[in-house]
Amino acid sequence: MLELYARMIIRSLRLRLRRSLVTFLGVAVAVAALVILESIMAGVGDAMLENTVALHHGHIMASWEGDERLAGLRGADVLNRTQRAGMLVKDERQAPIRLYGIDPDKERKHTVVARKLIAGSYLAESDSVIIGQPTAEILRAAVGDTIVFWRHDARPETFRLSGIFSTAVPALDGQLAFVRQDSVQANRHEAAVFTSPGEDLDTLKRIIRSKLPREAIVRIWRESLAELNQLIELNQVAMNVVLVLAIVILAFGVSSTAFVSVDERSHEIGILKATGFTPANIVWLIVLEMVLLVGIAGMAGLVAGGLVVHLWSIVGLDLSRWTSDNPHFIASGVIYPRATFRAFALPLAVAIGCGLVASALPAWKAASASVTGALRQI
Amino acid sequence: MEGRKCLGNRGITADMNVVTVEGLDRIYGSGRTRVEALMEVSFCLAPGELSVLVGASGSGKTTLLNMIAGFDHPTGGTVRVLDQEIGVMGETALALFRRQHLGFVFQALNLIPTLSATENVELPLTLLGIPRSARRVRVCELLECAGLRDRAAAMPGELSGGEQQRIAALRAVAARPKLLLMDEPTSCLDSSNTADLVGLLLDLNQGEKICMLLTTHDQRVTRAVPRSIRLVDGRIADGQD
Repeated sequence: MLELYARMIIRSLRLRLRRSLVTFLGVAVAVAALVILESIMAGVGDAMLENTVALHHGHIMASWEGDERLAGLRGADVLNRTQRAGMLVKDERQAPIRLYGIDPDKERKHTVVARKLIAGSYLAESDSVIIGQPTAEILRAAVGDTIVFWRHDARPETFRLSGIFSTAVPALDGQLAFVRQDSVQANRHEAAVFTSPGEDLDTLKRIIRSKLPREAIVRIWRESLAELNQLIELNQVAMNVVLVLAIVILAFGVSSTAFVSVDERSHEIGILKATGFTPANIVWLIVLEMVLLVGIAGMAGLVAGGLVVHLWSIVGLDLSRWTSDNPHFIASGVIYPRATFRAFALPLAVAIGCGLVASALPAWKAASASVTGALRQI
Repeated sequence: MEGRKCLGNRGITADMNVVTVEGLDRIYGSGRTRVEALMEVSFCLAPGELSVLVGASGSGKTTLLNMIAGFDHPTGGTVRVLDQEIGVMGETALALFRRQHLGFVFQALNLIPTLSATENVELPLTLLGIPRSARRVRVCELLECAGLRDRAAAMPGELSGGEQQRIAALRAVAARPKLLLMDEPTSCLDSSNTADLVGLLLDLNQGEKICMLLTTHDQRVTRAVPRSIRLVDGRIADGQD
C-alpha cells in the first residue's frame, strides 16, 4: 500500500508541477530564512556574551580571601588577579577606586581594556597604572603623571599613569584601575576564567570551587550578569515570536495548497472511494503528499540556509554601525552566525508539523466528501 | 433457480440474490423543493445476471445505481447486496465492502490520472493485498482479453476515450466482484468503441459470472442485454420481479 501511495504521490506532484514548485519554493525559502535567522540570533547572543565577558568578568568569576592562586584548568584560561579598594590621589584630588593587579599579557589576550586605551600605553613598566577616563577627569591626570594609591590600613604606593582607557561602561571606567600584579601586595584574590564556546560551565564551576577555599565566591556569567542573560533570553523570545508567525504563515500556505489540491482532485478522490479507498486511505494520501512535499522542501531549505550560515560564519556580519555605542558590543560589532541544533531541527520540525496539521483539514474534507458529490467535480 | 450451490470462496450461494431492492425511496429536499427521485422501487438481481436500467433522463437510473453502490442513502426501503444492508453501513465498512464485492464504471474520466493503464486495472487487487506476481498475471489476462496489451504502460491521458472505458471496465472486474454497476458507460463513445465495450462486458459476464447492472440510453446496448428494467419518474414501469 505504501508503494501505491508513493507512486500516486510522486506522480501527482509531477502532474501538478507548477503548484508543487511554488509550494516547494515557499517552504524552502521559509525554512532557509528560519535557519539563517536562528543562527544570526545565536551569533548575536554569542557576540553579546563574548563582548561582555571580555570586559572583565570572564565566563566564570571567582573571588576569595587568602594567598592561593587558581591553578590552570583544562579547556580554560585562568586570569588570576589581586584586588584592593582605596583612593587614587593626585595633588588635592582623589577618586575612590578598586585597584587590580593583573598579568598584562594574559589580560591583553582575553579582555578589552588594552584595546580601549584612548591615551598612553598598556602596563609596560612595573610602576605603571592605567585608569578610566572619568577617573582621569576627576584627578585631572594625564599620561606620565604620578598618582598615589592610598588605603587607611597600608602605606601609600606611588604609580606613574601610563594609559587612560574608555570602554563606555561606567562601572568599569569610573571604578577600576589596573597595575601589574607583581607591583602590589593584596590578600583579596580574583580569577576570571575564559572558556571555549560549548564548555560545560556548571561542571567547571564545581571544579573551580573544589580548588579554592570554602568561602570563595564562584559565579558563572549567567549568575553575575543577569541583565545580559535576560537580554539574550529576550532575543530568544523575539525569535520564538518570529517562529510562531512563520508557523502561522507556513500553515496557511500549506493548507491553501492542500485545499486547492483536494479541490482539483475531487473527481479522482471520488473514483478512489468508489474503487475501495477507505476515508483513512484518502486522509493518508493527502497528508503524506503534503508532508513529503514540505519535508523535501524543508530539507532543501536546510541545505540552502546551512550554506548561507556557513559562509556568513566565515566572513562575519558587521553590525558595528548599530552596535558601536552598545556596552554589550564593546570589543567588536561583527556577528558570526552560529548554526545550532535548534537552528536546524526547529525549522524542519515546524515545516513538517505544518504540513501535517495544515493538510489534515483538507484531507478530512476529501475523506468525508460523498462519492456522488466528488464525481460531479471535473 | 437451482438449489443452494456454492459459487465461490466468499460464501455466496446460487439461490442468494446479489441485489435485493425493497420499497426503495429517495426523496431530495422538502416542501416546494421536494423531489421524489425514487419511489417504491423493488427488484432483485441474481448471480451472473446481466440487466440494463433504462429510462428518460431524470427518471432515477443513476440515483438507483448510487443507492446500490452505497454512494447515497435511501430515504426509505432497503438495498441489500450479498445479503448486507447497504444503507446502514458506515463509510469505512462500505469502502471495504466495495473493495471486495463491487465494481463500478462511470460515464467518463474513470481512470486515476496518476496511474498507468496496468496500475489502474491492478488497483483493486493492490487494495485487497494480493501479491504483485498474482496481480500482474490477472492484469495481463484482462488486458489480453480486452485487446489492450500494447497499451499497458500508457497513462490515462495517452488513451482514447474508448480505451479508457475498457480499462475502467477491466479495473471494475479485476478483483472478480460479485456485482458490477455501470452508469452510462457508452454515452461518450462512438459506435465502434461502444461495440467493443459491449462485447467486452458480455465476455466478462459470461467468463467471470459477474452480475451486471448498467444504465443506458443506447438501444444497441439494450438489445444486447437479456433483461431490461424501465424506470419512469422514479418508479419501475416494467422489468420488476
